[in-house]
Amino acid sequence: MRKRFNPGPALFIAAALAILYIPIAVMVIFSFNRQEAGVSWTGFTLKWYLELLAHPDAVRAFTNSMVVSGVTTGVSILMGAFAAIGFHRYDFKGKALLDSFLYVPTIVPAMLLGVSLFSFYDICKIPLSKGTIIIAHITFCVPITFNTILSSLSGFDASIEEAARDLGCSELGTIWRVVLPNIVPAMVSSGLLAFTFSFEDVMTSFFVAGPGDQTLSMYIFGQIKTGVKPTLNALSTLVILSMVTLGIVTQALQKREKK
Amino acid sequence: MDNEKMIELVGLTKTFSQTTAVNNMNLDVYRGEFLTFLGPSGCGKTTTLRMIAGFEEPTAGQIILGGKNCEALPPEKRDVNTVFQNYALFPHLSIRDNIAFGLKLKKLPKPTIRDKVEQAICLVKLEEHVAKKPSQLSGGQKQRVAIARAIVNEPKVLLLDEPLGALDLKLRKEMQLELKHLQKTLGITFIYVTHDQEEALTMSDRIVVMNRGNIEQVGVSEEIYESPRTRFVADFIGETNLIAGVVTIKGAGFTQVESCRKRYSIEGDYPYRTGEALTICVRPENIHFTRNIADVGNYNCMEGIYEESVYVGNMVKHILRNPAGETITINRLTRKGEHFEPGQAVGFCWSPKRAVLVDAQAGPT
Ligand SMILES: Nc1ncnc2c1ncn2[C@@H]1O[C@H](COP(=O)(O)OP(=O)(O)OP(=O)(O)O)[C@@H](O)[C@H]1O
Ligand SMILES: [Mg+2]
Repeated sequence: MRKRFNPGPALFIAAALAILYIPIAVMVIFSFNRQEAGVSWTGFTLKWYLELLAHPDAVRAFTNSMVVSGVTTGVSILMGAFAAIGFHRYDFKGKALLDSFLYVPTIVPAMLLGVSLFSFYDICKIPLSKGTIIIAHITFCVPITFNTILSSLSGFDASIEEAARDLGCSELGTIWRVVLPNIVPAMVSSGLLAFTFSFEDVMTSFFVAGPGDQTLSMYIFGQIKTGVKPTLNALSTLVILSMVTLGIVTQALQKREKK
Repeated sequence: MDNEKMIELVGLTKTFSQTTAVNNMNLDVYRGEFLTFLGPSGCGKTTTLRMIAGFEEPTAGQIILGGKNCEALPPEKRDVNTVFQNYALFPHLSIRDNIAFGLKLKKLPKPTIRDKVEQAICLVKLEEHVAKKPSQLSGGQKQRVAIARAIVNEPKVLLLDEPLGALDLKLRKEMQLELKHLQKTLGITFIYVTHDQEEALTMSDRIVVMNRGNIEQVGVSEEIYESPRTRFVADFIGETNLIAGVVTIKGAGFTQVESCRKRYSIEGDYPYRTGEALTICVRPENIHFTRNIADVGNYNCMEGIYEESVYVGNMVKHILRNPAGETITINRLTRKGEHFEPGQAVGFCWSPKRAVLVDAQAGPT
């Protein structure tokens, strides 16, 4: 017997999706609108995208962001993975304490983190640069990668490592051949999350960026003050597009990994 | 099996914070031998294997592998492979790559690896599953992969921790034969752990019966079954009747024991002294019924109150209670047609050759 169609849940889902996606859709559509201001559609154009390319500040902010978030992600994945492996394999004094310390940066407000790092750099006379932004981002990205990877390791049977040793693997060889391949999915997904967090961060970066090290998020934030321009719509569309592509690629990779 | 010692355990002890899992174990394992550890859950079988493999550091004592003390050797340097109780397959590798893992590490030429892996796969009958991942296999199939993965390396010693536990009866019997055959043809020394007495009795060259971290007895199957040396072994292996008694005469080649105000003679030399309390063990299949207690020659006779019978196919189990209140089980062929009423007094007897004496108490507690 077929169930009678009930419009309630369908409407609900439609409403939720609408709230989530209509603003984004509007933004994307208007990035192709010929008219500069106003809400009427006057024809398709790519001129805002071309104009964006002619903006040296925007291009530089984009490359800055790529460098900062890329390096942050790479370092966070490696640090998170090795910390998690060490944490999983060895027992030591103060382990529980360290564990809770590793959560703290995720709950500290971004502004406080920025202020404290800023004064730290100031005290140590470290000049602000891309490097200082990267260090700041790593502080809140490592907890993300660490915790994700650690939880994937906790489902990993210790006797599997013993089996590798038994069959002739050294301790390091076991990490390389057996432990790492099994945490690759967690490394990739937590890395993606870290990238997103780093990419969208304005608050912390604002305090620790040197002159000329403006990231894309900071640039967009700065531009908003003078009103929403179609170039901004175009820029945001590009950002969304690259994020979605990244997400799809990761998912495809993870699927292949599972097979 | 020759007389070259493959493994020597000397005073091997393992204590975890609370429990002593293995207590002062002394054991020699010979080259090419099929040795089985048999014992109840938690008696220290896995712990012993883990110490031999190098995953657990002994609290005291030594492990000598092929004449060399291997205290400082990490697991990968020991010429020993393990079939783990919980399989421990590599989840990210296909079945074929799981089995090839050890050979690849030894850097053997590719064609050699391929041939050996194919052979091992045929042996455990997993041809259809080679491309799958472990998560796609059943428990029994995983267990067979674990066996293949270890055996393909042809180690000097193979440690198997209940390797057939997850298989159904038919496959289990088949694999028992296969393993035994393999062990003989490859000449690998097997140290095998099982709960299953029948498996232990049929497969092993020698059996080590363990209880609470101690070795109770080491011997070939017949010795363990026919002449248990401790009360624990007598009770744990097969079915047995335990009758408490006290030594009255210590003769040459026999011991006289009093139980329920009657005297019984048991053949054999035992270290028990006159007046010492002990236990008579008689297997249920070695007891006969008798109508006339007075006229049974040199047989040992006892009288009991009949309780019930249990039909088990070709056998009937007769359950009685003797004057001391001990339960006596007697197994008789069904076709003998013996029948008794509950509450009836029934005489039964056994040959002095068919009983053994063990200590009064179960092993150390
Ligand atoms: N890592 C450990 N920490 C503390 N106690 C342990 C540890 N490993 C084993 N034990 C204890 O040591 C004893 C022997 O354990 P072991 O695993 O060797 O038993 P087993 O004979 O293999 O039992 P089974 O037949 O159930 O597998 C048990 O009492 C167990 O609780
Ligand atoms: Mg065990």
